[in-house]
Amino acid sequence: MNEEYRKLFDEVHASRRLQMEVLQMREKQNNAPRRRLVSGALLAAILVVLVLAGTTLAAVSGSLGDWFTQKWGEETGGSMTQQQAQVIDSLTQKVGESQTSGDVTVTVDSITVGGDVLWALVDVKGPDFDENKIYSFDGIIAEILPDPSEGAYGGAGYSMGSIGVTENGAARMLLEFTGVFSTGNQINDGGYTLELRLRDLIRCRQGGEDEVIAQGEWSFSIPLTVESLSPIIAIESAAVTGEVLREGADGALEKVTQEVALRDICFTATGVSFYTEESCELLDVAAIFADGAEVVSRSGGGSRMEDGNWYSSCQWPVPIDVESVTALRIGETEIPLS
Amino acid sequence: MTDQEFTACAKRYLDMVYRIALNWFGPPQRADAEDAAQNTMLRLYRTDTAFESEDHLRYWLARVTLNECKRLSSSLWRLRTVPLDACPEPVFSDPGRQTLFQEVMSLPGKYRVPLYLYYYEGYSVEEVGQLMGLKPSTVQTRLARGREKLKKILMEE
Repeated sequence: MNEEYRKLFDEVHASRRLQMEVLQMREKQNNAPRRRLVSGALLAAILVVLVLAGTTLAAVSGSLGDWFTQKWGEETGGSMTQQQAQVIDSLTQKVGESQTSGDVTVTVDSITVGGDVLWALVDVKGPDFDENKIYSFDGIIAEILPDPSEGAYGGAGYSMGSIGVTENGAARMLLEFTGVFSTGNQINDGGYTLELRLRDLIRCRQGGEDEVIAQGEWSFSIPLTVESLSPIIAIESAAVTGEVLREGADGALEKVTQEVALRDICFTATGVSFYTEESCELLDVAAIFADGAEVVSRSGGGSRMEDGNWYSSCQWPVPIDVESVTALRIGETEIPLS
Repeated sequence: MTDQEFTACAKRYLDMVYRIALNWFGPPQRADAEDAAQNTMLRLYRTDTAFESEDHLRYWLARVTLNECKRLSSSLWRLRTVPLDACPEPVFSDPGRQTLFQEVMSLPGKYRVPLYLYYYEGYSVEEVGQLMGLKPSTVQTRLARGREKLKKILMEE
């Protein structure tokens, strides 16, 4: 058994790319360690196929606003206020750009853009789509240009998959892109473009090979418009309880629960970011509304910075009206907002 | 550590570091394994540790790799883990070995890592315990259970 086991792992090697990156490390020592979704000059995110296992898809219609209205109901159990809907409208831009390859036309219908997050509604028309199947693309590359992290620490990720079939037979897909940019750059400040490149339409199969149902390539370059209507709430500092990883004298890591000082907390319609002196377990962040409704952050990440401090950012599952929020809860600590 | 020393160490130990990380995360999260391996090598490049021997260096690398794996595991980034074209799956000389690899890697991570450290890297139960922050009795149990599952897989092959 030992021999067979050893032979097996004798053939497991670091990839050529990893070898090259490590061997060239001394030349790039000032560059950030590679997060899987970061490359040197550009912030290049890599294919993520949205897994909708067990989800029954249905006919869908309407806009991104309608989709967020549904999400709001799922998150809070209540209805969205008019003010809340206006915030989402203010963050959303109509695109309506189409590309055709073969018999398949892909249309980026609209996008909703926040500081480090965006959602894009994409319609695909041509083949007969089954509303009970999941569709995506075999190759998906989404980039924000120029690189919001400016080559410094940071990262991004995205997912894309069908959320249903429209009344006119198009497969409706949602692209969700989130990033952590320790530079503090906001992708909705008017200077950025979403580059989206799609290759080969596929029908996703759970537990099997995805089936290519149409070959082709579709590319989009969409300038992200300035968003200045939703306010940003800045909180200078706060102390919360969190778990930090400590390395003991013998090199062993252990989790320690302690007070964590957050500084430069930035609360926006699409998420919350802050800086800490050390890495801590990602804290759950919740926006609490006057009626008791809560929206809890869904995604996020942390990034070490050049000075050794940490930048953390998390995103809401749906954009929120910050002026309606009465308190933020970070970890177990509630921070009232005046 | 000079550039030449670092290059030599990287050539000798990158595979070991990557295999430990791959055993920790499993193939679906091989991008995380690559991140952990790269972070470990970066720490080697930056360390002021004076290594007393080759064994000391190797042990240090194994420990730092496991620490980096723990760090990455605690990050929410992993919730967005994906199979990446950029991180190819291991390729084997024999197709049967490819299947065997998948089956071995289908063992729970808590068995994979001690099995690898014990059987491939040759660390003792005590050393595996020290590396992983586990009691020797826990390591023994995991090795026994992992070995049992592994034997079953290998016998089926």
